[in-house]
Amino acid sequence: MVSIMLVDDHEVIRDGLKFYFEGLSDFAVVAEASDGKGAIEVLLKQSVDIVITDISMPGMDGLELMQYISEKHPDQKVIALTMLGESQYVTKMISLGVQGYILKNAGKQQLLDAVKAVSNGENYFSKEATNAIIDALANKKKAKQRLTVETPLSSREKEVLKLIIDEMSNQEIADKLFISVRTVETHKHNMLEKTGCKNIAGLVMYAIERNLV
Amino acid sequence: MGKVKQTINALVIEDNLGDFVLIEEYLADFFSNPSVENAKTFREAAAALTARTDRHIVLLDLSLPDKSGEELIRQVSTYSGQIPVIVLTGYDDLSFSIKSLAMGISDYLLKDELSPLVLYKSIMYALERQRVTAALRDSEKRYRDLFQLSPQPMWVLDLEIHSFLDVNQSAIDHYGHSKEEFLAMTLADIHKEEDLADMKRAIAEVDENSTVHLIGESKHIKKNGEVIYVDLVGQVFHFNGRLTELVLATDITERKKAGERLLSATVTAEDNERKRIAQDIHDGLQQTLITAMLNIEPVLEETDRLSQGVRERFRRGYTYLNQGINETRNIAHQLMPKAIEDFGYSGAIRNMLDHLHSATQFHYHDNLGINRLPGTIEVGLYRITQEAVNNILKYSHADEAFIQVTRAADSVQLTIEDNGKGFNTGDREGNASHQGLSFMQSRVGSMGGTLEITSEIGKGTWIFVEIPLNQD
Repeated sequence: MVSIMLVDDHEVIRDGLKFYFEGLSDFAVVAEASDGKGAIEVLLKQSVDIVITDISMPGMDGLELMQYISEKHPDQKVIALTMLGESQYVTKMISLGVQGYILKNAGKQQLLDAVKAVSNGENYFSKEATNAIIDALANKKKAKQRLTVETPLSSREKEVLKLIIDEMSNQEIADKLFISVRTVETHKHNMLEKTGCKNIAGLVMYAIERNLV
Repeated sequence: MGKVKQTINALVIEDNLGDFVLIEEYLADFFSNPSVENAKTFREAAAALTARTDRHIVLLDLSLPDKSGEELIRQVSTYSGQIPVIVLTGYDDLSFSIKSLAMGISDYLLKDELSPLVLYKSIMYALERQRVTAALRDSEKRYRDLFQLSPQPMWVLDLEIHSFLDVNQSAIDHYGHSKEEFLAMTLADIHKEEDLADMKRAIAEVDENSTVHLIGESKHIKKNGEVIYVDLVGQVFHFNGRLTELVLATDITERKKAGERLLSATVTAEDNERKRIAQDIHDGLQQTLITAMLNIEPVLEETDRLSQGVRERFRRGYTYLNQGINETRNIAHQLMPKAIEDFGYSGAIRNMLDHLHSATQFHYHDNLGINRLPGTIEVGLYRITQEAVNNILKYSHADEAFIQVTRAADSVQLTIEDNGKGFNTGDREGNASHQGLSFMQSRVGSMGGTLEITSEIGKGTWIFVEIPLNQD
């Protein structure tokens, strides 16, 4: 039998979820907590096979609970059950070691599938969570395919770089592009940072080597 | 000969009685009831001038028993003050007469050539000249006072080399530099480097024909390093052959800060309200809907017990409920993404970009690392970025866009660029996409920052935002 702890600040929701597992001989909700702190207190007293936790909770939230679990109970299996579908939450929870991530309105079947999969040592991510990760990866990949440099320079930056190579001063560049000296400085700063060059001379070399200008 | 019925009150300093009587007669020819007093020595003259100061004219013979020549002129002038002095003598020496004029004497008349008319004309010229001089002195003093005593800082600026030619007391008090320091300074000493170019550009527009010149708003640095906002108005004029400008500075720092505070309070109130509503939706409505769903769901497993019509209605109801839950999630997110709180500006923006499905390829770069910005700035920059991204998606047709955030020592800078259609920056009014720009402007203003937008048709749009950090 798989033992489960439900962590959610809304009792009515814990009740609703508990009802999913009623009458199923393979699963039992053995503990409940209303936030991360309560969950940690439970974990100190007893072990459970799977923690199903909300992310957004007053007091100690799901991110902090997961941080604690990843440090103190790295083998603990956890499924995030949340209303938050943004990629940052999905990737953050995965990096902290959750085995499952599903949205609260996913329905009973998905939750049972997730619990089954995770109890068998597999991962389970709902369609929304998977899409969020794929979007994030796809955007990163696209960015890398587009240009040869790792973080590309914008066209305005290249324009500024060209004028630097023409030995123009910040003031002259600002006058030519109708921008302030301050923004020219920001452009230089950003280019140095993105290319990892230490000074303007290095940046000029970088640009010439890569035929950027 | 029609006599001019003007009276005269004269002191004749003359030791020769015959000459005095002659002068008295001459005066009576052209003035009505002249009051003429005689002093025979310098001592008498000094006493007479000290006793009465209401005389119109002093006629002075250059050789008296107790004093004569240059020394006499000098002494009498001291006593006569503003009263014009005309020298009468038989001493025919042109070079001395010129010298006496240089000493402040009104006129020099030779006794041998004296006639009633010559004397009358000389007196009338002297009086008129004195009147004009006094009026000029008064008017000069008035204008001087207007400049010196003005409660607002004023200065005269050389428009070619940008140096200060004069400053008033208020400028000295307000900026903390002494007059000598000011006169050794140029515009570069009261402007930040980045503003100097704008100021020089504004000045370069001025030419000979300019008069009132609305220079506009700028920032000045006081001697103690404090930065103030000023509104400048200039008046162009020629001064010692140079093109100069009289500049009147109004310190609008307080007004500006009050405006910023008001804007900031409004924006913060709006943000808090959005956050509160988003939280209410998340903690209240959403949980209620989820609870409803959790409780209705078990029915799904037993729908075969329902009649077909009811079963379909039930399924439809369940679908709508689920859709409602998703909608509340989107609304709460639009109002105020929870991700800002948990992951900061950078996380929230990456999130936004991750979930975009558009033809525009966005690149994001920042140097924030794990450091967070102050909460109000994170929210402010997020809303500005969101607005800019919406504009890019809706109007630009760009295929590439860059969002970059740079944290410097005392400020954070955001640049958003795209290579899309661009727009005419002079043509902002009324257009829906450009209401977004004024939204950005007020957002930036509420954080005391600056916003620069440049755009060119066919080349794209470029937005630069700088927000000062460590605000009080």
